[in-house]
Amino acid sequence: MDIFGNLAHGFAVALTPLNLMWSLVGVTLGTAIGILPGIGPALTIALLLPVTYKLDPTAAFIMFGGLYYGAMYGSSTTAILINTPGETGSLVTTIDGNKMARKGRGAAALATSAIGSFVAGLIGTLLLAVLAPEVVKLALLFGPADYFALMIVAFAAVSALLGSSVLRGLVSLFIGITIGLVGIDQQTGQSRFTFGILELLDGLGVVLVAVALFAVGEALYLASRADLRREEIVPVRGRAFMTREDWARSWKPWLRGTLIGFPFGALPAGGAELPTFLSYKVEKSLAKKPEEFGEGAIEGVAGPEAANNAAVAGVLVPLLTFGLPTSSTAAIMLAAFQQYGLQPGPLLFSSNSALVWGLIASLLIGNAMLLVLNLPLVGLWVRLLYIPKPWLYGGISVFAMLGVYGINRSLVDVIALIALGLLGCMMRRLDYPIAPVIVGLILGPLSEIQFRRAVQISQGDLSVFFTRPISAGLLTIAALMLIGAVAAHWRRSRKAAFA
Amino acid sequence: MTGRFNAHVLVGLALVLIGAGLFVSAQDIHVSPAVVLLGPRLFPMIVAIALVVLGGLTILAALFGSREGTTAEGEPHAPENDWPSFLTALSGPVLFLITVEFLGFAVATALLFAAVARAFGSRRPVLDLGIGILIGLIILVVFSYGLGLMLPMGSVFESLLVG
Repeated sequence: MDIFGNLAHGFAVALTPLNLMWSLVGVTLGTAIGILPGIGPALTIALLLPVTYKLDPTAAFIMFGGLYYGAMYGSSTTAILINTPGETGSLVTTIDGNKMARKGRGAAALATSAIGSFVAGLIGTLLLAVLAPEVVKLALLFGPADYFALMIVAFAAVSALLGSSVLRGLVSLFIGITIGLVGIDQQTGQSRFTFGILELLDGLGVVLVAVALFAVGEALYLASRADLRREEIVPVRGRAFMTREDWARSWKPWLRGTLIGFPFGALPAGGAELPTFLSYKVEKSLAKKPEEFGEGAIEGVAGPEAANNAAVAGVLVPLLTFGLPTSSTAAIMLAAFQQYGLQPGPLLFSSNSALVWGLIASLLIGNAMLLVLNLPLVGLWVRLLYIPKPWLYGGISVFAMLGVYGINRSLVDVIALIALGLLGCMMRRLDYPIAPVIVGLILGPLSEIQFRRAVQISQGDLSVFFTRPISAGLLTIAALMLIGAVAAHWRRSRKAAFA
Repeated sequence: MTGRFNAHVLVGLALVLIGAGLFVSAQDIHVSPAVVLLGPRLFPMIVAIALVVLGGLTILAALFGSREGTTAEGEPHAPENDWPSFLTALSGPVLFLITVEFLGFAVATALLFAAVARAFGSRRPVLDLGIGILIGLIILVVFSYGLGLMLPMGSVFESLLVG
């Protein structure tokens, strides 16, 4: 089937009233949690997993996809109005977005980020629709050894690109892999590292770990840091829309941001944070008035906000075609696939084409809904920012506890929640990135399976990873990434030492 | 800076210890004689070795490395610690753990909500507890009537529901 046939098929699925409703639920919830600091798409999808267990998988993924997109829209509002990113993908937006708001140009900043997000979401989703079938053809060539090598690339990318140093990224990754070891070995049925505790046989679930690190860990971290709890909301002032000059200065950054964001999401390069930094740098270097950057340059909002939405569309390419998550939200979505007994990958496109194309079509629809939600209706959302912080974090804690305790009613889970929450708080305080933990937790067990399969097929010959061209190529890329990141870090620190 | 510097040495030591412990306990994993190649032991042992190596590198980096990258990006000011608030927030889930089975879900939820709210600056504990009880009761209703999942019932507030 050609691309138009596929999309038509997808729209037929997505346009049913029920699926439209789930899409609306997803984008609305996504915008809300995007705006609210302290709760992001990974945490929300993790909390929704047990509730959506009985839902039709297509409906669930339509909601999750809309939620992921919506979070990227909403987070810019928080970045612009209170100088704190609603999600990490909007960290750069705070620099110029908040300055614009303070100068009474908040409305224009909100408009350029919403329209930029729309443009990026539209182009990104279309690229996803065009590229995914091609990538699937590539994925069909992959054997277990190649899959293992691909996961090593993802490990390398996540550790090299997130966080302040490769070493810390790797430490975070291996913390996740270690947590993933607990439970029953999926190939032989042996229990491992359960310490005789019955509840640990099923392993520490991804919901538990994600909720502990993102909700409890974050709340404890913010409680421990008085300086991070102060914030000031800048009221939206200025004309409701962008001036002619704003449009002229915005459209190119939107397109450039899209082109930067999509490949960074699609290549296993770790989600939406990095491309936003890159987009900001590019816009600054191309700007006619670079001195305006940091003082409220609209390009510094338009570019990164397009980049983070395009990156989310990009993240879905490896997730759907290879089953490879490149961000913590994608890792939770992979867990959602597993919950339904579905295996993302080339087979998903043939066995569940209604789900895949329904999801892609619903993202196009949801993207249009998001433009409406975030442009004319942004004033309603701003009120969310006035929820008192004590009640916001109190509420997040209650829902986190409900998500963990409500499922099994096991006090062991609550103890694990507290322990992992303390771990998350400690990691945040010592500046270790959290996302590699989630990716390691999900991909660790999968990589072990592929590794053992590959070696069993080759009858114990470990050279299989280096003789198969795909696998050898991928392992080389992984090695280059780590070496490159270490070298870049070393050069920077030498420069700093001699400066 | 010395505080962080010591903390990273401790992180490295912890990683080495966990890795070593993992390596030792991996030997206790039962491998059935039917397994010819790569049983359930190998992967944990690789992870264990990686943890030890990473821990060693972390210690070396903390002792001899540059200080660059020790603070989070976009965070030019020094952190301002607030340990009393941290302990108050931590007491929330701990109180939930202790109370949920004999005081019921609603009371435990209220304690959790009020403790975290207090850590984030609220000074109206009675109001917070009231809101917490309300949230807990709403969740109980949704869970037991909507989803058919039972949460522990207490004797005081839950009886209002049954009426």
